[in-house]
Order: sequence, then structure tokens, then C-alpha cells
Amino acid sequence: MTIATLTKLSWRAVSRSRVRTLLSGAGLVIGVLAITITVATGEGARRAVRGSFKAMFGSIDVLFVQPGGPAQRGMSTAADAVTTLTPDDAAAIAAQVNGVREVGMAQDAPNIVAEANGQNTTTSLWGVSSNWQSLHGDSVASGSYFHDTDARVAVLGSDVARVLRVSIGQRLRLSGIEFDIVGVLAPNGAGPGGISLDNIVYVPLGTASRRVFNKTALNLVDVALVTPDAWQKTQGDVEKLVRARHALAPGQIDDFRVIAPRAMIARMESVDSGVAKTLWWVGGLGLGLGGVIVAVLAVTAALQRRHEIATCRACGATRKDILLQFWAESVCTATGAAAIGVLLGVGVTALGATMMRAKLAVDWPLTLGAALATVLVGILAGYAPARRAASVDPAIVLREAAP
Amino acid sequence: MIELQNVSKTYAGRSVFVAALSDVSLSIEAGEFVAIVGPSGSGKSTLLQILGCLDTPSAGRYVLDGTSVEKLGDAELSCLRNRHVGFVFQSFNLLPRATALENVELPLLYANGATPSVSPAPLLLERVGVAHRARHYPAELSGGEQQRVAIARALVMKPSLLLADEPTGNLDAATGAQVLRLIHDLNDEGLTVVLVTHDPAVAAKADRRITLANGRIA
Repeated sequence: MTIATLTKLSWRAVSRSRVRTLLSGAGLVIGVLAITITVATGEGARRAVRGSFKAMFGSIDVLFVQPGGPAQRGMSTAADAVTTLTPDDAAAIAAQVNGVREVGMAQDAPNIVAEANGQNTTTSLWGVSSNWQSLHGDSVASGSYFHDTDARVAVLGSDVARVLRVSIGQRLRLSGIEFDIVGVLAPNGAGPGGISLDNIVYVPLGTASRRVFNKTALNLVDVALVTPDAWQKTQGDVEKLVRARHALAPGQIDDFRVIAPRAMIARMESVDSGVAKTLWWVGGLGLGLGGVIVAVLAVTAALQRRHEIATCRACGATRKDILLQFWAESVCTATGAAAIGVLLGVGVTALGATMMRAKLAVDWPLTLGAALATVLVGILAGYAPARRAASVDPAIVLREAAP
Repeated sequence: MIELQNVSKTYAGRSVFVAALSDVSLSIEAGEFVAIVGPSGSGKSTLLQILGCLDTPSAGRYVLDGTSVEKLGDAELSCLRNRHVGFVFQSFNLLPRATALENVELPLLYANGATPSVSPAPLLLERVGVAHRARHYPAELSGGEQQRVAIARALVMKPSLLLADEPTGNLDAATGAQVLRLIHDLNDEGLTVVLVTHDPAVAAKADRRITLANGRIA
């Protein structure tokens, strides 16, 4: 029997027994669907995490140092009483730690009221060193960034400018202090944890520490690395230096934290992989169960279609023809299920990506691997029932039918 | 054309061997119309299945068109069935999920290279008078139409032997007579016909009758 004939016959059989085909393929579709979505969400989450870090820090190849020991919860802000990180620490890191390209400094506080044009909004205020923009790769949509650390100027995130309806040259008040607006940033999207990077106002660090926060201690030191892959060594060196500077005795816990985005990403990805593992199990189980369903329904079909088999045999079909015919039906069902599963999976992923305004993150090699696995399940599950169909003795079946 | 020499067929039951045919010898010439008659359980269907290479004798010798059949394997027997034998059954045995045309074309699918370039199926459906039903499924056809489709299927590989097992058994008298006339016409054109029947009136129209009783020729 030719492949063309076999394909024609199996397609005829599966397309004209829709309920059986549907039941038979459903488990497999669920399996492929679960795997496709698992792979896509895993990949999507990875890209999202990296993207949010990039948006906030310009690169994931940085370290950031914060005041407060490991027990400190959440991000430190200028409102906190912790004052263990100083501009001198930052300068020392830049000067003394090998592998450090540049250091940026910041003080920040959430929930600062910004007023302009008779409008007001609550925003985050960041006092930053003048290299902050280049360090982070923020692009200025209009106006320019500041270079003077003591000027009373502000660069606004795009949301703040939009809400306050201000433009370059106008003034705004932050905590009651007036600033000249010199620049508006291009939209940056969301940072880690979904915080908005556009509802933010940047002012020079000197101005912020003297006029707004009234302290010199920093909340954040950004450390740009020369060799990103050596981040673990650099992290150790930074910790050593800051401990020495803070005169911490051996055994005494740190009064600062050095955080590596790469380590955070690895941790988030490992949590993610826990969820992924579960979904992999669901996918694998779906495929396994799908295989069992294919096998059971194929055996039932072989039993129900004994007369059909006997008739084919009477018309000249060999046992091998029947075996191939029934086997091909299972493979055809599995192939259809794989195609539908992948299409649905990609569809769901695309829908999710559109809803979350993310890029479509289908991992094609793994998705196609899942589809191939499904076809393999069909091949394995269909063989025994097909052998059973081929073993039908036409003489016995036709004698049963005779009066 | 058909030569049976001392053919026996026994089936293994649960505790005993059942002899369905015992020492049957007969010969049928090409172009003959032979009726096999006998009571139920006399071995008619078994004989027909051996003649049609669906079953092989337990003992004895069977020669079909010069080929000795009893030692052939599955592939050779299937090929013989496909090329030399057409079957017509009492219960039509059409594939339920195939149209009339597809049913007629069924043996062509197993012909392995012996397939004609143009399918003879539409012409055959016309020949048996159901061309207008070509796209219909068996469930949409009357008994007479189904049997005509089955006859067309039996003829599609241009066999030398037509085996009919009670072909009119499930049909009313008028339809049965039409089907029988069709089979007679085919015989008139040179096709060898072996027909199993209970019906003395049907048997009476054959050239020759072979009566079986308890697995032997009476």
C-alpha cells in the first residue's frame, strides 16, 4: 500500500469519525498546549524580568549597593533612618575596587507631591549624580539632563510631565521647593516588581540632599562593571571594602547590601522553573494520558470495526495493510492533535503577549519538540491496537455475519 | 478453473474438533454458474470461504486458476482474493464511512500496482444502475442499491470468479430477482459464479447445483 493511499484512508477514517477522533486527540491537544504555554511563559517571564532590570538600571551588568543590613526589608529610601552608606563609600568603591567602571549615586523618596500649573501628582523623587543618565541609558525626549550637582533643576519622567501638563522652562514644586524643568525623559516602562519608571522626577543629588532630604547618606550606589561576567568577584570586593570602611568586626553583620541583578534574575528564574516544572508535568501527563486514550479508543475501534476489517481483507487487504491502516489512523490523530495543540498554544501565548504588551516568546525548538513527542506518542500508542486489528480473522467474522 | 481434491476443514473448538468440511472434491469450469445448497451448518459458507481464499483447507488440495492455494501465505492469498475473486455477501458488507463510489474502489487500494490508470468504479456503478448514488453513504441507500454497489465492488478488479453468499437473502422478492438477473447477466458475459443459497428457486436457475450435508457433498 502506498503512503498516499495510507494517508488518504487514515484521513478518511479520522475525519469521518469525528467524535472518536476528537475524544482520542483531546488528551494529546491538552498535553501539547500545556507544554507550548509552559515553554512560552517561561521564556516570556525570563525576557520580562531581564527587560525590567534593563529598563531600571540600563543594564543587568551592574551591582547596586544599599544601606541597611540583610535584615532590612524592601528598597531603602531617603525617608529611612538608615544612614550607613555615604558618598565617600561610593567614591572609595569607584577608586579602589578593580573591575568597577563607574559609580552612580542616588537618594530617593516615594510619595513626594509635585505641583505645577495648578495640578499636582504624587511621584518618586530621585536625587542623582550627574552621570546617572549615561549610566542608565535613559534617553531625553525633550530638553536636556543636568550636569550641575547643585542646581535647582528637574528632569521629569514622561508620566509626570503628562499629568502636570508642563514643558521645558516651566517650574514645578517638590515638597514645597521650586525647580526649573530642564528635561523630560522618553518613556521607560516598568522596572522590577512593576514599579513605574515614568512616574519619577530626577534632580541633582547635591540639591536633593541639602534642600529636600536634608542628609548626605545615600540610598543607592550603582556600580557599573568593566567585566560583567566577573560580577561575583567584584561583588565580594565591594563587600570587603565597605565592611572595612564601616569598621565592621568579623562576625558582625553587614550594615549594607550589595545586590546583583544577575543573582536576582537567577533566583526569579529558579522560582519560575518550579512553576515550569509543574506545568511540564501537566504536559507530560497530558501526553501520557492522551496516549492511553488513543490506545484504548483504537482498541475499541479495532473491535467495533471487525466487519469492516474482514471486508477489507476479502477485498485483498493483507494483514500488514490493516496494521498500517489502523496504525496510520492513530498517527494521523496524534499529528492533528499536535498541530492543533501548537496552534492553540501559540494563539494563547500571542493573546497573553498582546494583553501584557509583551513580545511573543514562543520557544520554537521546544514547541516543535513537544509536537514531535505527541506524534511519537501516537506511533507508540497506536501500534498494539493496530496489531490487534490486523489479527482479525476475516473467515470467522464473515461466518458470524452469515445466517 | 477450480479444482478441489479431498478438501477438509476442521476447527478447534473448546474441547473438540469440529469438522466443517470432510473430503470434498469438486471442479468448476470457467464460466459456470454453480449453486451450493444445503441446510444451515452444512459447510456452505466454509466452502465458499475456501474457494475465495479467505480460509485455507486443513487437508486436501485446492487449485484456483492454476495456482495451488493451500500452502500460500497471507500476502499471496490476499493478492489472489484481490485479483481473481469478487465477493458478494448477504449483508452487503459495505464500509459505513465510505461513499458508494469509495466502496467500489476499495479493492483498487489493495491492488499494489495492478490499479488501472482510470478508475472503472463510476462505469461499474452505471452498469449496476446506481451511478446516481455514487456520492451517497451506505446508510442512505436501499438494500437493493447496497447490494448493487457490493456487486460493482466485486467486479472492480475484473475477477474471474464471483462468490455470492446468499446475495438475495436480505432483499425483498422483486429486488432479489433484479440482483439475481444482474448476476446472471455477468455470468452470461463469461464470469464464473458460485452462489450459496437456501432458496430452491434461486438454486434452480444455476447451471449446476452442489448439495452439502454435514460437510460432505450429498
